[in-house]
Amino acid sequence: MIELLAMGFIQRALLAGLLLGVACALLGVFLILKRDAMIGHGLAHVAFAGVALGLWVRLLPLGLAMAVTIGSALVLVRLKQKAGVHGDTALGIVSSVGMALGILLASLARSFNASLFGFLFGEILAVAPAEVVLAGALALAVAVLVAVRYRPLMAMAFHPEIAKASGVRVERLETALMVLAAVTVVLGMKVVGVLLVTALLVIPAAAGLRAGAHFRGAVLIALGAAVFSVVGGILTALRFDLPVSATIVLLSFLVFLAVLGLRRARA
Amino acid sequence: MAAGKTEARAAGETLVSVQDVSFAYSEDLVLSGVSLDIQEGDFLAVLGPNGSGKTTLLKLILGLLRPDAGRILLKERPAASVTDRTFLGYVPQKATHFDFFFPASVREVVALGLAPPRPWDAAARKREDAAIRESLALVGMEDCLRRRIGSLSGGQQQRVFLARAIVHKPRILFLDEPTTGVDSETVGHFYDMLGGLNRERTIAIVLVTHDIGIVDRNVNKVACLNRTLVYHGSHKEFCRSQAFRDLLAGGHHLVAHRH
Repeated sequence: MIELLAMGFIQRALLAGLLLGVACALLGVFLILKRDAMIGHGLAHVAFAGVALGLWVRLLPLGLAMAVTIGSALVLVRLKQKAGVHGDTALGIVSSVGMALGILLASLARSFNASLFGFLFGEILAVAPAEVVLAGALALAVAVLVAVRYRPLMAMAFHPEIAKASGVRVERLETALMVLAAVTVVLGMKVVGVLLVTALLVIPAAAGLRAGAHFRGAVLIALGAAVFSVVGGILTALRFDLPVSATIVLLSFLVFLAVLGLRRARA
Repeated sequence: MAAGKTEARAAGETLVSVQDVSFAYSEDLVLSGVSLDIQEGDFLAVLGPNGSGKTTLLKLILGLLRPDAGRILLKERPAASVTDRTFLGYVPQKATHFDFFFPASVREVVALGLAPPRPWDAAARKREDAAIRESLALVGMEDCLRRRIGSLSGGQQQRVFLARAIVHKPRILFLDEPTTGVDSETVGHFYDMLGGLNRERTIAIVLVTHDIGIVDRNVNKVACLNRTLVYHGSHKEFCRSQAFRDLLAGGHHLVAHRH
């Protein structure tokens, strides 16, 4: 195991996973409280379409997925804020259309192959140095947003109407959260895959929100749960030769169950 | 003494000016040509039957909705251009209809009404702590600082929301049906609390309510709405007005009147 940890690709996997876990936990707390927990799921479907487009035109699948997913996130925000479409309805439309487009494009590109499956199920052990840098930039952007706008974000999640009346730019904050969620989903594809990226956005944050006696505590527990799940998941998968993404998600679920058990025992 | 003080405050600065404002939800005209001023020291009750536009008027003033016609000034400036809203506080209708599992302590909820101090500024953090304790003491909730907001009763939550609305020492406080679902004894305490804030802290209060009994307690002005302004003036004259008789009679005339 120690020999494995000395290898560059393992170090990159751990670092990228850790950074992504931080971004997912911080964003997840606010997305869940805003009833946007499934946003990762919806955007992941769109990201899949972006990757398929990239494979079809043979040009930067990750870059195209990023552009398509951020664009879709902005459309989702507009649908919610301006057209009065409920968030879950907008998400239902966008995610199913995204998946349908993805399948169509992948079929046209005849690319139901290893590279597409890599995005579907994650390829954390093949993370490139540039992707680690991207994950670092993302984690930094999310951490700065949360640190600088902590109270407005909490006020928006707690009671958006009071927040808005108090001068909080609720629509701007919502847009910022959505764009960061889109970037997280695309990078998350590389780590745990399209199918499981929602889990990383939701499960550690849900554990934090159930366990925290106050908001700051909930955020810190979510961070801890995410980092533990990602790092623990990678190491466990390597040790027992298991699929990495599935191990990360199942470990985060075990953490969630442990939190529920502890709460029940305390009550 | 109290009456004299009220009169003196009523002559103060105009905090809100609603000028010939109209608003419709799609095709349904909810407010038409409403004009009124709210001044420092006012305790204004906004009365009217269901669907008369009371909440809409409040949301227009607070910038949650935009008027279709007319304009709204906050401290003599167009409302949309006023980004610093620390001079106002707001307790909305159904304020306590939040996620009861939201992991926030009472302290954290009240702190949302304040700009955060810099983490390294110990003196500012102390001042914030003192302000939070003071506003909680004002509403009789100082012992609940560390309690989770979802674990409190509806009446207690309403008082915490009031503390959050006054913690930054606003000059005007807007409350929309703040006592809905609260027992009658608590309602009495709540109104007395508002009266105290108005008299002792010189906070202007705008209270949207169905409770016509409030007119007898602390208010000094009444605005009666029925999609248009039916009455606006002192509470004493209101008690002799046709609008008051219509409201007492069950508001049928007022409700039936549609544009």
